[in-house]
Amino acid sequence: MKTRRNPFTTLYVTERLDQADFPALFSPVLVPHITPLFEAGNVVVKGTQGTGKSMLLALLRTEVRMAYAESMTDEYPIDDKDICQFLCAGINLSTDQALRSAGRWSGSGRDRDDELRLCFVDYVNSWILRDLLQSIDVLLSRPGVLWAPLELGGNGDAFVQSLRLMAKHPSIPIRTSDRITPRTAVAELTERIDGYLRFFNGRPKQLPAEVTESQTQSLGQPIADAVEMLQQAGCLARSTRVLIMLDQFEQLLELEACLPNRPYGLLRDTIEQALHRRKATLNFRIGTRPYAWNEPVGEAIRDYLALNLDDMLARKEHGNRKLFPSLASDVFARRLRVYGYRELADATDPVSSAFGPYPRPRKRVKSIGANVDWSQRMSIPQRVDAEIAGRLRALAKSEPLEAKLGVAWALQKAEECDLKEFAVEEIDDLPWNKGKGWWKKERLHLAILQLASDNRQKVVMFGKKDLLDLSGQNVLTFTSICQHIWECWIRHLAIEKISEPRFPIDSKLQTEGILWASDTWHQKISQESWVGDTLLAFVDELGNRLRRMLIDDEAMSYPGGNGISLANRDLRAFPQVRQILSEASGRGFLLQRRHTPKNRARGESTKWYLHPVLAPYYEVTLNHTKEPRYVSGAEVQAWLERAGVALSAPAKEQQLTLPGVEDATS
Amino acid sequence: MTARYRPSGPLRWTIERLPNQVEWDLIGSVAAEPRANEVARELVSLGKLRSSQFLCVEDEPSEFQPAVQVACDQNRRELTAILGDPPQTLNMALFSEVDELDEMYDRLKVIIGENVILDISAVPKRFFFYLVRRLRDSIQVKNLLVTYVLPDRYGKSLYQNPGGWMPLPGFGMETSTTTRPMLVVAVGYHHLKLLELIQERTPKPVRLLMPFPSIPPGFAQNWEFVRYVREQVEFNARDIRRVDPFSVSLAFEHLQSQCLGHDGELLLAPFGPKPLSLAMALFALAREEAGLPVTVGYTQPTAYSDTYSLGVRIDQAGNAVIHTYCIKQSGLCLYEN
Repeated sequence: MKTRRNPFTTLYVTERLDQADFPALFSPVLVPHITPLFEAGNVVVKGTQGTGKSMLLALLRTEVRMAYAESMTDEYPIDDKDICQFLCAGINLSTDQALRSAGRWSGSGRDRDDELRLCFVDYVNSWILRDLLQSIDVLLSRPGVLWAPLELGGNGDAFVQSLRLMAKHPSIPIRTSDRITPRTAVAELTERIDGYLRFFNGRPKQLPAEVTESQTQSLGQPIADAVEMLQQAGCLARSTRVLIMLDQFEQLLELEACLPNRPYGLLRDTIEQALHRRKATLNFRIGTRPYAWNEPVGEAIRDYLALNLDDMLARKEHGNRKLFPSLASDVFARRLRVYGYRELADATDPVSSAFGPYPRPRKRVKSIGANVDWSQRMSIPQRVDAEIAGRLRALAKSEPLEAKLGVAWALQKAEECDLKEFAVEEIDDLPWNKGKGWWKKERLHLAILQLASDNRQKVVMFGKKDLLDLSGQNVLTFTSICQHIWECWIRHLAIEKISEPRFPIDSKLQTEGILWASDTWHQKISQESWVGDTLLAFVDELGNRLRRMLIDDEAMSYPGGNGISLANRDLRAFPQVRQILSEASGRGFLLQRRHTPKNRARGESTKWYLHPVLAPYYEVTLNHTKEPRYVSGAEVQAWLERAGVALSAPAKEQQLTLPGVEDATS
Repeated sequence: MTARYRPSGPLRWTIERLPNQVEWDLIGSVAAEPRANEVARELVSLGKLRSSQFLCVEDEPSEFQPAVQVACDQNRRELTAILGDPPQTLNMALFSEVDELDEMYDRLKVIIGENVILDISAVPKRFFFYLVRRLRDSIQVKNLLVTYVLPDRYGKSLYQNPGGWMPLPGFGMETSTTTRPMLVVAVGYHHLKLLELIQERTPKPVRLLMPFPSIPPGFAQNWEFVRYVREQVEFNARDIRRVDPFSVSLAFEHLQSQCLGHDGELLLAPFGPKPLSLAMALFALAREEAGLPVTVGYTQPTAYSDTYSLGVRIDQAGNAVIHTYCIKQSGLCLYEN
């Protein structure tokens, strides 16, 4: 039997991917929306985990561009020669070990702060400069691939000439001037970087004098000087833009939160200052999670352009609604193609072909309990008029969904007026279906959830629309769900010895995969650095509480009760509440939106929902309809206490603030 | 690679067979775990304890703190009774960095002589990895034993809020390669934040050291760990190597054979039983000496539970089960490449 591979096993396709595989797997759908990334000026790319920022930044890297140039099947997603006339060098602050600099500066005091800052800046500068020289060397070694066609600059002699100039420049840590070659210059920078790495390990105790005497104060300075030398010697064309990439900026925030007695923003400031200097020779590209980046104020607004991938992919009322589905579909097809599912990948709509349509409400109810006698199983509260209850039970035999809605309708009517004004037999006309049907539409998901609860089952989810809704505009979530479904499917094929499988994948396998993926994402909460267990305790408390409220809301008065809304002034009064909500949103487990409450006196508010992929785990509804639950800061504070959540780092509270809340509460 | 006898066994058995060593200097810990006192108890009962020094490692603030304090105070009183005097202690913060650890070692150095026992049972990895390096490299220390006391059982809640993947102090890589690294993971009960490492470094190949036999219900957690890693990265069934969780020598040789020929960056993730972590520390040091790049990292929790482990495992003779590993004998390191 043919061995089938799971195209989604390796979820994290980032800059670490083998360059040769990059062109086949990278989806260019977002590229038209992020063209400033290739142009002059500083750009900050913000996005929660899984929005694809590292993948987009990787597009700038020389080795990836070379891989595209050599690919027989995939073209670089930008074909404008002027836009492509750039050169990129950079550092991943986490994987390239820049954060280890903090390990050697215990103790407090201004001198220590300066030492730490200098050490970090010089390490980053040395790394980027080495990357720049290596990039030029690679490009010049095969000039016909990119260097000459894009007219990036002169020849190898000019490169060597520029290195000689650099060796004489005080800010550039290259000292060998005799017989200098790109290789010797790179080796010298490597030795400097490795010297730092040894120092971070505590061996030696002190940095050598030749290093401390040549450390540069400002991030980017030696690179800017080197670029001038490169231009001066004719190695780089003056029209060639130099892009400096710094990815995983958010790691600095986490590091700073762990550094005792250090000024706020000690290391992050070095990068913000670099942007502020606005050097014409350098164009910074910063990759960060949104919570780590302070919104610009005043002058700083002119320092850079922000590209917010979450906003870009969010479903909007007007336009943009198709961006995420298109991206997901393209990512899906590319994965399938690479892993040998070409026929499915080449279908007009591969996601639809693989997973089929989503279940209509009746089908969903049928899947919850196909052979159930709903007239017995359906819960009807005692307070419903006995005769109405009888009629609804009779209706439930054939139409359980309508009957469940009927229960809610009857309860609401009872609350609004005396039910006796209402002719009981009218219930047989299903009055909740009259008019434009909004009342029913808004409560369908809640009714299905309550029926599932009555039958002690989970709501089944499958099909393209369900998958996309669960993904919450996040491509990592989408591929993760696909991964789990595919795993269930492959296992099923092996057990049943099916050699010629058909698509779409069986809905039961899809549901199983979705529940598994939801469970995995729930586990991911506890894996967040430093606050994982605390976050999990809070999100569990919130999720379970929302579920109970939804199930207990038999009148379906709050169909939007799968989210909470807090007045912003309340957030000011409860810093712990604000902190935990910010942490959970910043790390992508809650979705945060501005909220204009019905009651204006409540003032500007913010609402939060669980990330959709967590909805199956907590058994809450997925759709965001009507008003969320209005809660007070004191109530949420009580939830925190009940969950045993203890947050005792006021510095973090200051740092981890989401822009939306910050604006509204300051 | 040459076969080398590396003495190991119960503490009592091991020290009786090491020639010419009459008394030992103990580096242990004052901790919440009951097993923290057992090595001192046994050495005193054997009349083999010359001097002792105990680390008191303070976690970050957490909900465990009050109960941890109570348990530590109780164990300190018990230790005082065992030693006849209050224990000599060194107070350290859990997240001490290499400079603070150097200061700690300078103070320890004063009391230790040629024969040293390091009890890692209740000492966090950040500390015992560092101490293994220093004691192994010390000219002064001629005979080094590392002990590990088996608890009766582990608690349900072990720790809280692990941080991101970072090298253990002194065990970061010293070459700035950017290639895909090889990853060897010692499989444990909890994968903490291993995902982050896999996500960021996309290692290849990946090998797992599986404690075998594992004690029920621990094996289920071990396989859950494997399943979790399997979800993040592809590897074959043959990449899971079973290894005796209490044989440091065997684990060391497994590491040698698995990493043979891999001269690029190597990441070691010690998530498994402490003896396997010890093997990783020793292998990393041997690899470093051979001039090959290696990082030992961990996702350090911010606080440990007061019920991390409960009780002490007792053997048929009524003694605490103390696994003892001879690392250095007569000045010769027994764990070298």
